[in-house]
Amino acid sequence: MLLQIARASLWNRRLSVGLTIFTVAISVALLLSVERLRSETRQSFASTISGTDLIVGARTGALQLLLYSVFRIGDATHNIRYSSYEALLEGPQIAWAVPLALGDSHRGFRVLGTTTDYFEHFRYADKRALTLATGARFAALHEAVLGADVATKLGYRVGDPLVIAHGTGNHDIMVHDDQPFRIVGILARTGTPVDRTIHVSLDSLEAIHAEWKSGVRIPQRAPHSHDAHAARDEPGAQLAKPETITAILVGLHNKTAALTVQRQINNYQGEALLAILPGLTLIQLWSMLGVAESALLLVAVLVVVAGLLGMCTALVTTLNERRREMAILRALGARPWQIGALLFIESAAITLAGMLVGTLFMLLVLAIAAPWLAANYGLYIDPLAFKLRELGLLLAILFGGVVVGGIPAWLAYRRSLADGLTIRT
Amino acid sequence: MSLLCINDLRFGWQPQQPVLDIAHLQLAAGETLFLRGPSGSGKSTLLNLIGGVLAPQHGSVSLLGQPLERLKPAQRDRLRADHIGFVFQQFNLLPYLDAISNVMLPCAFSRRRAERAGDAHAQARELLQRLQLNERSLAGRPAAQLSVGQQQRVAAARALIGAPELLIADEPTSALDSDSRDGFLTLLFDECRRVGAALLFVSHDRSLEARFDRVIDLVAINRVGMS
Amino acid sequence: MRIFPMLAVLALFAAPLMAATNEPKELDWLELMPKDEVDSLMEAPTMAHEGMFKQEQTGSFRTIPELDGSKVKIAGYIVPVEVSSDGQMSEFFIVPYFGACIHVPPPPPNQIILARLEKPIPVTDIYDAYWIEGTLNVEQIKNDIAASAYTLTTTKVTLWE
Repeated sequence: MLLQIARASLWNRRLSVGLTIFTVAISVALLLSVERLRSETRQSFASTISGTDLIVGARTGALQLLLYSVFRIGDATHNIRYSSYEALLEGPQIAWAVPLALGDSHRGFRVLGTTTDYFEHFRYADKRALTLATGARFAALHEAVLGADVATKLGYRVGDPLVIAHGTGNHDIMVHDDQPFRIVGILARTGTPVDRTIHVSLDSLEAIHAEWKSGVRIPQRAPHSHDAHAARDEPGAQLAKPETITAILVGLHNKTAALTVQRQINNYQGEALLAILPGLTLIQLWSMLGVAESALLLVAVLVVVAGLLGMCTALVTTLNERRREMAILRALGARPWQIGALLFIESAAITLAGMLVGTLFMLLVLAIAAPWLAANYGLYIDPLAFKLRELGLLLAILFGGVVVGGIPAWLAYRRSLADGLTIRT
Repeated sequence: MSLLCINDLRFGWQPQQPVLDIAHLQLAAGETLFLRGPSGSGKSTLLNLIGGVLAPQHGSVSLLGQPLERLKPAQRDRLRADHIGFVFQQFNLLPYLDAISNVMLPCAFSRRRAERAGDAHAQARELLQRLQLNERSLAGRPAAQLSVGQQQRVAAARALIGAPELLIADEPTSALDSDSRDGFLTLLFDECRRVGAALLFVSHDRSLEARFDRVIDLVAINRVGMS
Repeated sequence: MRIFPMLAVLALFAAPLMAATNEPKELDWLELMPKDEVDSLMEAPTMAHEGMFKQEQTGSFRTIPELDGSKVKIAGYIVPVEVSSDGQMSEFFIVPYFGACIHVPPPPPNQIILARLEKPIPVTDIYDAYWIEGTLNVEQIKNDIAASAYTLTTTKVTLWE
């Protein structure tokens, strides 16, 4: 009976009740979204690299090096000399070293120049290797291997042509259109920034920059362009070695040598280098993020509290208008606790409705934001991946709504006791 | 045995400051009693005491032989639900329920009245028809949309469903215009007589007194305020 | 009937032995280093500067074979190596000191233990010291017969008090 009365009562006030539900819903959506972003960001940043003992780059900062070499976020301020890479290869502890050259792009996707060793040694998530979905690795010059998302988003297939643009902007203005590439392979999906990368050989990257030595493209220098054309026709033809690269992924014979080798690289007199331990640097990235995350979470929790208090206020202010209603119920034989329960049911209903709508809001917002986050920040968010902690948060919100709903219920109980059958004004 | 028997009743909000002091008041089954009581005379308090919402501090209020002063609040609530129907001056109905739902409300709170009503929905419709309301035109419309006269008659139907033994009406006609007043009273009397309910009618409108079996002046019987 | 006293005597001997093998041996870091190396550290060797890689300290890849297979307990700092997608680590270094400043050389390889966890644990605070228990092993390094390093199959990690 009380349920029927509560339902009719809420429906009768549906405008203000609807606004209240909307308020609660927005606060719930905010909290859930913040929490989801937090956990998915962690996951994204962790799955990206595995099994690499050291990353070497120009002496910028550890976090910056990690971000641009692995996550393709930001740019390197400085390249390192290829001769340093060759010196590194001579180290007795070095098992393998893969050079990386960054700086070009194609329609917003970054281009990575590297060797085929990259496909051999690079691991992600839990020591998973890169596999090809179709095609093969690059072998000759001007061949490209695409990450899964590049192929999907741009609709490319093996055999299609590709022109690389200079720089890492979103639009291809200065293009290397005299030396188009051909797509020879597409990688299987990894859920990491590899999917957003176009892989070419280091030599190819060097070739297309042969005319760009002073930062300006000078196409009239025929001998160079002739060399480039010739190189394209002869697979495996020797070009000048690259002069600079951006970073090096290093694997050691024995991991425990990592700290010693790191120090040796950092102390190298030939060039200002920085060697980082990826796992450790990742943790440092997380602790920096952790502060921001905690702040965001706190704000979101406070917003939920505000939303629930708003619901409480809305119900309490209606109590005055409903004194007559409560007196009628008392006359009919309702106990004071039943009248309190009526208010309680209403607040519980509003909280539940707010939680449901809020969850739907969150799914909607994340579904819209996910592709943008993936493309721009390398964050792969799955809107439907509900975590245990999120369910815990929902339960906490419900509990909060119940506690807060106790306030109008208690007030109603007391008022009905005091008022009796007639209202004393 | 009388339906309602009040003996040596005293009640006050502050200790040592009684608002009500009544030596004796009695109501027989099926009797109609006009209780004259302007506001401030303690009539609301008296109605709350009879209805079992308040408990007397001294003396006894017996309903159907049950001494209310000895019962626990939950038991008094049950007694009220089972045996008393109320009609107030105005705003009797839950504004967001329709007329029929309002009339059926007592059956939700009292099993006894539900049993006596039988098919509550059918009973409600019959009562509304008897009180000259076009039940079909009222169906589905929130009670707030009805006129005052219609609302009072719906309230009367609600008070009578399940045949309670006592109907307490507190200034039920004060909000009605003089034309509807007489009509309403006639209907009320007829229906009370039909189910055998006693009628305790509180009002200050002396022109209505003639219809009733007895007339009592609350100020006269309330020993508080007498020197 | 004489078997019972014999068993009793055996049990008497076995008990302390078993206790000894079950209780992890608390290790000091210098115990991981061969004695002659500890001695030679007293004299500061001069480093040859060749290209990027200086002449490595002689014998820093030498281990103490007797420690292979022993249950040990050692206090140190944890440097995460393999971190999974949900913030759990499955491999980490145990090092004797934290955040070596650049004036001091880093710990040599025989002062670093590569610890592995069968069941990954949440990433620990890199600034805190921990007691790490497990079975110490000596593993040969590929490509170099003379070189070996310590690994630990970790059973327990507790905060250092």
